[in-house]
Amino acid sequence: MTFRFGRRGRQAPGFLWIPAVAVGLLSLAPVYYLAVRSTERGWEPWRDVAERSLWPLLVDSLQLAVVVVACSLAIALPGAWLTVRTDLPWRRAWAVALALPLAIPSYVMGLAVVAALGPRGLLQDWLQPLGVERLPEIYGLPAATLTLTAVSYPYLYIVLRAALRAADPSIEEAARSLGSGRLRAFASVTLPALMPAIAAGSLLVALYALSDFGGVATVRYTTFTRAVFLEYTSSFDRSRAAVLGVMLGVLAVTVLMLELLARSRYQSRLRSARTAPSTPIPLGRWRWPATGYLAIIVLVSEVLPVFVLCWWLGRGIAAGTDLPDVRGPLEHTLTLGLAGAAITTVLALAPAVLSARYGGFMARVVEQATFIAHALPGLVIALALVFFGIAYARPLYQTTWMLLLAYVVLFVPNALAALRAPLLRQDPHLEDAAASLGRRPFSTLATVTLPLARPGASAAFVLVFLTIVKELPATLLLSPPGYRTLAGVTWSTSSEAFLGSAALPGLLIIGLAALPAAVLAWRGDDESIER
Amino acid sequence: MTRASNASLLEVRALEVHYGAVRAVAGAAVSLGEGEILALLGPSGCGKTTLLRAIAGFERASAGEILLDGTLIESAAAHRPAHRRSIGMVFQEYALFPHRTVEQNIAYGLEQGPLGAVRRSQKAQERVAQLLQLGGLDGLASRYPHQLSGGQQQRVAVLRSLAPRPRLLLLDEPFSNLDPALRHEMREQVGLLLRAEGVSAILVTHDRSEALGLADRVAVMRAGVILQCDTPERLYFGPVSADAAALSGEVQYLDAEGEGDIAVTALGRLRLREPGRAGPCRVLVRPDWIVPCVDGLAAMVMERRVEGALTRLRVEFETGLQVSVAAPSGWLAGLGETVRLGVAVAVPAFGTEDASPGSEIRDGD
Repeated sequence: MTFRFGRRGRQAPGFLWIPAVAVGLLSLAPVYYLAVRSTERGWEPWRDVAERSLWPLLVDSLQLAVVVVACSLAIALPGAWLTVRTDLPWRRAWAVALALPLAIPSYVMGLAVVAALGPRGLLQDWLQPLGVERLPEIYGLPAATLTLTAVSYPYLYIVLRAALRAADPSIEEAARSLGSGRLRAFASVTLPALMPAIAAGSLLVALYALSDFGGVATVRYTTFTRAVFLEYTSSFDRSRAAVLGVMLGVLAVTVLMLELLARSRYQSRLRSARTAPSTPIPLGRWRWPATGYLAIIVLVSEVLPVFVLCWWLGRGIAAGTDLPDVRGPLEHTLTLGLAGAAITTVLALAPAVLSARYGGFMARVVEQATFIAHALPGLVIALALVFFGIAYARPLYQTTWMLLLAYVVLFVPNALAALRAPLLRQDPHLEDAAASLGRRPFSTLATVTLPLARPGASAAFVLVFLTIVKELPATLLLSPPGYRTLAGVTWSTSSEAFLGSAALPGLLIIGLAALPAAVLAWRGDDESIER
Repeated sequence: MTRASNASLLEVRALEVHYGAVRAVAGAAVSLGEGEILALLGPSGCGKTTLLRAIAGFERASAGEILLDGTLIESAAAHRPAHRRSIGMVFQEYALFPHRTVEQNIAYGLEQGPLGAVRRSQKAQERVAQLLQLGGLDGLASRYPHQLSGGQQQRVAVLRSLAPRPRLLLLDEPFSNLDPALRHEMREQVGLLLRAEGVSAILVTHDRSEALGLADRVAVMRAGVILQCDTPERLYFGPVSADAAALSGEVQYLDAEGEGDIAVTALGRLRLREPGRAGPCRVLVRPDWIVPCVDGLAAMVMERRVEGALTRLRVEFETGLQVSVAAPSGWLAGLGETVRLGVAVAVPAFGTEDASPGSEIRDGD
């Protein structure tokens, strides 16, 4: 039937709209306020920024994004293909291991890169006896590329895995039955089918590279985010920071729009495909080189940071230095993570139910509103909330509530995506069935829709918790004075020459984030981590 | 066959349903009597599911009206929400609640209170037990939907919708997800269930034998309009238009000359279903209406294909006319043999414009 899957004409119960629209407005408020703030001093700061720093910042930011995307592709494409389509040994374990850098914050990775490869770093220590006095300069683009590739390739990898799993393997079989070799079949049939997914995933990585603040700051590579932060902390007049924030925001939203475009194309192309289990492609003598390649990736992106941190921690203990007290920050991080995850998941419920179970124009508008906020780098949202707090919400400003508000604005889209995925998989007529059995809309929601949202809700909770634990810029800008979190301690001690103090909180963050990340990757909630 | 009383349970009048600019239902009219089972038959995209969903309250009408028990429940201005219509629905993919057991699914419509009382009344409990037994699902009460076979899921869906004793039950292509052997069995079982409960029902299908075999009356639908609504017998033997004829069975037309209550054709003088036609016309002669007949015309079997219960023949008469014959496979007519054939029933006649000549077989799907 033509209209079987259309949810057109389904009337969503009115009481769902109030929280959904509220969440949409909440997401837009900081964006709106940042725009207002940036034009408060007229066009003077704009002209100033445009003349002095716009061009170099744009070049450096885009340069980093392009290089990181290229490196991520070189990792994610073989990684996804090997773990989905071949008989690689320990496939499932590799699949999880490749997604695990999700647990490592970019500033911790940056720290590890500098500590390992920088001047007076680990590598030089080892090479000194051999007469090597100086290593090539690592700060800047090389370290930024290494750092951001290591932490952002998993986003592309997850998108590609999902696309490869959804792609019908029989089209490749069809190509082979028409006389194409394995390689030609992949290149002529599978790869073109993957192109939209590659585009969408690459743009996601680019967005990450443009939005990241902690990673580029630790390796001293100045992109828009670092410039915003420097303006914010160094000058009294914050208009320039606001202007730079708006420019970065426009750049990020542009990238996100391109990403949505690519995504809509690959979803329409792949969703209907039947997902038959395919016979794994035998790797033959390529098994061990392939395993080796993946091992190097895991070694650099996961083992290296953990090892470096442990090594510094050991040296710190051996040298008898005072380790920072992490009990307070640990407690704060846990409180913020749990409370933030709970609030965000609850707030994302109404828009998720509307968009996944009812659809329609207004549901899309609300969803898009939350995604605009999502496109903006955490630093920009945090900056906007600082301005907003000072101007309109004085009692909230510099309280943990403001920080939680920032987390909600930042991570509602993640929770929404995680909630949506399982809701979309259910028969679209379940609510109709309940209505035809005489249930009122509220009762239908309570007895049918919400129970179905439970698996999605737990995924959303875990995902948001993991992200909050890692989050840096909003935590830096909005934490109440004296309220220290693990991320804050890691950041503030990392500028010290001796990394022993930053090692412990850094390891704790990885420890807290690793388990949720592994659970999500193991359960295969690809759709929920994607965002 | 018809058990309908005169009191009309459901009245659909000149109903229109739009999807944006697309008019999916374009002035459909149909009525249903108490205890009657009606089938809506038509090809994909003809608007039959949309009509069903409008009756259920899931689609809004842009014109026309729907009355249940003489009360207006749907028009462009009025809309009674689905949950207050007491109209049950069985969905094509069943829409069983995946988080509830078989028993809890069936009991869903009987639970009271906004959140659905955890404890059910004694009466509700008995009703669930009765339905489980009626559907032969006694041993499966605590299974979850994903642990059931397709046929079992289908029965649960029907029982669930029957539980609150709806005024009317709607079934949307209920058998299309089952394999053919099971489909036939389930059709029988569901038919028995519906009649045991005495419920009035509308069944949407694109399967002719399903519609004709299960329903008291069949409404054939095309392009959002109901072409004819009649008993299976009247529809099959007396379609009112060429379209209705094509939707209700295989068609084959012969040129004819009307002479009162007979038509003169190359197959001889055939009785007309409706006497009084004069002049050139076309008569419908379905392939299974041509039967062996001792005083019939001689024809030679040119092609022969056994299709199970029926054997399909292509025969040629001495005049050179070729027709298609669907005969019981038990009647052995070998290739190249000469057989004598006649038409057993009174045939319907159409204007020469309406029906295409010759004997090509058009399928309703």
